[in-house]
Amino acid sequence: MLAVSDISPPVDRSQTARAAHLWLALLLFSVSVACLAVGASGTSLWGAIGKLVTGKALTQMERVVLWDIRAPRLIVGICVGASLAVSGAVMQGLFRNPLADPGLVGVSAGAGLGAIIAIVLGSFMPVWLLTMTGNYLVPFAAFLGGWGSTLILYRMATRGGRTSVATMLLAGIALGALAGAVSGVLVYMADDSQLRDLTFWGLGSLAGATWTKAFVATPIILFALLAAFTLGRGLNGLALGEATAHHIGIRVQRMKNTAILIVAAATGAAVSVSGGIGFIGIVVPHLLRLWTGPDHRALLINSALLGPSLLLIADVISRVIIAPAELPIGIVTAVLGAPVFLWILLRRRGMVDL
Amino acid sequence: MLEARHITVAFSKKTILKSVDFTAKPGRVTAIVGPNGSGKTTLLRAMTGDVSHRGDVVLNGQDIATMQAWELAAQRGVLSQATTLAFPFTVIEVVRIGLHSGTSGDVDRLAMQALNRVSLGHYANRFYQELSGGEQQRAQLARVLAQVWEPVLNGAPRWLLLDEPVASLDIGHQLEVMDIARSYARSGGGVVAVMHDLNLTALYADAVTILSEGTVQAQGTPAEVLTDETLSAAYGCRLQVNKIPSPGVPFVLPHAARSQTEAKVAS
Amino acid sequence: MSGSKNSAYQTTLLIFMIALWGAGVAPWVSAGAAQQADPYADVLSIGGSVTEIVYALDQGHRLIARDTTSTYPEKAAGLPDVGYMRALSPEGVLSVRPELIISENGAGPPETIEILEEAAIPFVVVPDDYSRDGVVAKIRAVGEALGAIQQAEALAAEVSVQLDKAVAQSGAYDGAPKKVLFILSTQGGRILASGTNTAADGIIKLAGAENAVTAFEGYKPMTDEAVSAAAPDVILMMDRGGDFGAADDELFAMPAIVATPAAANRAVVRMNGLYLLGFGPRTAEAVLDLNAALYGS
Repeated sequence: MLAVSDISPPVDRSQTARAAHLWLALLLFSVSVACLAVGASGTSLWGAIGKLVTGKALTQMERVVLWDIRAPRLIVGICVGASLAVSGAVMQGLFRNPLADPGLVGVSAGAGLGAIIAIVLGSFMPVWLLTMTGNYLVPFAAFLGGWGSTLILYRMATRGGRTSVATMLLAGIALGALAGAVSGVLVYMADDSQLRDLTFWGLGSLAGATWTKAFVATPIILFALLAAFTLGRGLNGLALGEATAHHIGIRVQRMKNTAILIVAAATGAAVSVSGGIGFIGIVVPHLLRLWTGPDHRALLINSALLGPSLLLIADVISRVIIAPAELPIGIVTAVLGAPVFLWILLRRRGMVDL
Repeated sequence: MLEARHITVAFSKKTILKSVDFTAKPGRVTAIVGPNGSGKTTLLRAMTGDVSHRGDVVLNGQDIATMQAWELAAQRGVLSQATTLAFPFTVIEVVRIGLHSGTSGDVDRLAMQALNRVSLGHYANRFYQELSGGEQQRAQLARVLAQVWEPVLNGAPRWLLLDEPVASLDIGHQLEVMDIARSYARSGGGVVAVMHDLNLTALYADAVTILSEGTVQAQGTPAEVLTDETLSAAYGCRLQVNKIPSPGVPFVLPHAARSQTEAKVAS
Repeated sequence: MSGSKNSAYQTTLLIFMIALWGAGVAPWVSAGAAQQADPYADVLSIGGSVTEIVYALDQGHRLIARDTTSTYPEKAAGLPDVGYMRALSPEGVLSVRPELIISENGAGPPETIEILEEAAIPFVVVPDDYSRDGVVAKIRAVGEALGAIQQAEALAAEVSVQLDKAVAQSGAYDGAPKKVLFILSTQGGRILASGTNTAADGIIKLAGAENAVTAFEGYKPMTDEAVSAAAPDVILMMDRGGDFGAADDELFAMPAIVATPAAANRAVVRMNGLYLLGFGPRTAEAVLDLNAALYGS
């Protein structure tokens, strides 16, 4: 008999997964502090805290940099990172495929279309809408686009109270192509400066984080995350197939409804405030599965901790590497994420079937 | 008691089951046999609530259509013919998936007990996908057993619904699994198993239902049901039933196969 | 039915929520701006033509940073670069501690501009118009922002004279005006050409030629047939370095261009982008250069 232990996880991974909550929370805390302390302007967080403690007034520079730039950026970063990672984990569980991402349910295509419509046709919108949304027309349109396209897809894939995940996947591809075509028409209509805006929107950035965005996105994302944490056992069951999930007592259809609405809300909100940021949704759950196993009860919580940590690290890099200019964060996550992802794939090849 | 009344199942134009009545009693192993396409698995899946059907399925006195998924799960475990698994779970994690999260110590102990029951305790921390087909089948059985570990809960019997539980097992493990099913029934639980192997059925079943072309051909004890005539009619081929002398268990011999073999040996 | 009602309700709710939060945030945004003494010592210049004007006004010593498009004069290239003008990072801009920001039209994103306003840094946007008067107005606006009114008036007067001369000289050619096609890029065999109302269109007109494309505004991809039908006499492009001989062969072999008069004469003009399209102090010179290149005078 071959020794089993050399290919088996040495210990029961549920213990590791619970310990990971603590480590990841510590990591997120440290990264958050770094995020407030590091920036192109060299404004010191500690100096400002010292002044607050001793009751001295902050300079305007300190107030603007710490309070109006870094603080909302930190909050938006945490929300977006958690949304992307948790939505990724939920989608992978739902589609039973570790490469699934929220793009599959049309969120990204819809949000992208919404953003393009707002950028290109913004000046043709009714005046009341423009006055109301102000500078936030693009994120607002992106959210509506993402949310709307997911609901349309979901309705198409649901027959007689049952949602076919396969139909949703295929309809998502079709809808993505359609959105791409409409986007193409709009891109053709766009002028030079609008094209630049589109490119930068597509690369994603946390540079546009403001308190207004933080206040709008945070409640939606927090609510979606809390709801997502209830899906753990259901997604575990779904790993055994829909029939078996039903046999062990999971209300499969209700769970699918919840999961898709959560992903649409969380990703829609995240994409609308930060543009398209790739790889977090795939790399984070994958790393965690390697470390603590695929149990979704721990995975979803750990994703909500590791996702923001990685995104904030990428953000710190993006803002200091070519300071005073800034690299779009989507480029940083792709440059860091793609090789890590390939390395994982090659190292584990043949070991465990994806 | 698990009762199916007037079950009719049709997929588009094809009728799979025609008003089938079926009853299984706790304390017994009830086998469903019949040729391919006779509707055995469909009948089982109607009783697990996986197939939409006309007619009623009553589990321990309650219509399953009125029961929530978790209420059903508390009363019956289901072993499907083939279960796929996404993501690299370990064997013990697969067994735990079926368990409601109680105190983790209890969950772990129960999962280990179930794995030991199918002789897979030493594979607890191996990746499920690394097991052989037969081992995976037994790991799934452990998951089902853990889900309804006590055969009787609060005075009500619990049920194992097994779809070809021995399909990919070697002879030793076939006997092991059928022993588990029998002892579950002896402890007061109910077992319904779709079976292919008529001789194992004869050895282990307390009651047998033969399905053919979507209708019930015969129902009763193995001795009553497993006869030359019913089997030959149901399977559409010549079968001869003998008796193993000592316990008087029926023993089915495929007629045509034997004569062919003899012919080959002779030539 | 109920579905659409429901989503309309959700939309209304969302709009309401946004309005509510917006109202909550508003008081913070309107923080009072501190008055600062003129003239501003540390200036951030955004946009190549603005930077050029600042140097032409002899105020280059006041610049502390620039954007990516500010590449002329060479001294400008030595300044810290705060990034592309449409994707400025708020902290990056603040980190160079500007007292005044002068920008071409179109700096962004709006969130960054909002924060800069919050930080009470004066932000002057210079108007853009691709014409003789546009250049003069731009110089005056930059001068005013810098408090260098006299220098600006002097430069404006000088540039006006130069431009008038250049335009007059450019208009004095024999025969029909040449039709010029400005190609922004030929990426993937697709020709991205300039229509009307662009800097390219402006400079072509000033140089005494005609834009071959008047069917649309801005920069758009054109079909091969439309390019052939436009029948340009000369192709105008930005100079991106590299081997022009090979690039020309490739250009004139493109199906869209092969049948045009420009291909027949191998007539292509390449000029530095900022010089050609900047509409700054060097524009008069650029007009003459372009005119010379077009008509070979």
